[in-house]
Amino acid sequence: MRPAHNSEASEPAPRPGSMAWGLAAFVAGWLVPGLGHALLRRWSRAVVFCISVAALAAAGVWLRGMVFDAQSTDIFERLGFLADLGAGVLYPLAQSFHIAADISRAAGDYGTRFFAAAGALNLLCAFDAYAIATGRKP
Amino acid sequence: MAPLGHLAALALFAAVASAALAFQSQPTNRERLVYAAKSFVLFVGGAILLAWLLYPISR
Repeated sequence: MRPAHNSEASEPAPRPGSMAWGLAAFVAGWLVPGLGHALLRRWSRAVVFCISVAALAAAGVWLRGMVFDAQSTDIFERLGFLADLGAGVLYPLAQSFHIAADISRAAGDYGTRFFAAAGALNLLCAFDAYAIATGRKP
Repeated sequence: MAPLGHLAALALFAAVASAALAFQSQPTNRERLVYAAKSFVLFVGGAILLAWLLYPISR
């Protein structure tokens, strides 16, 4: 009898310290703020990063900041789009609210920066999760 | 009426960024607390100092 092919059995699962495990932690942390550290059982970091990124993103939307999209033509708007994209799942969530940006006031301008900062901070956290998962950081 | 004043926005950003950076860079809770407090003071104090330095050329 021919044995059934099992791809999961033939490929070893990612183990802590491996590059695949690091990439998994990075992608999880990028998509959902704090999830990368939660996978690594770094609970306090996961909670703090999740709250920090979510608070900045929520403040950005609340202040009616601009959330850039992929159709941006200006180089600074494209950079803003890349920073916003760093917020992971919070980016499409913020866009789904369809809140009209109001950058005629200082608060709206702060909102734009807050959301971009949330994205940049989340990427920093995702890299931190990668470093821990690959064993480069204790 | 603005939903958040200038100083409140500055304090919010400083608090959140300080907490996140402290947890990323420091291993123990005590070191995190000290780092976050220093970072918060530097964020807020630096911004206020810079604002006063730029004040003469803003008019």
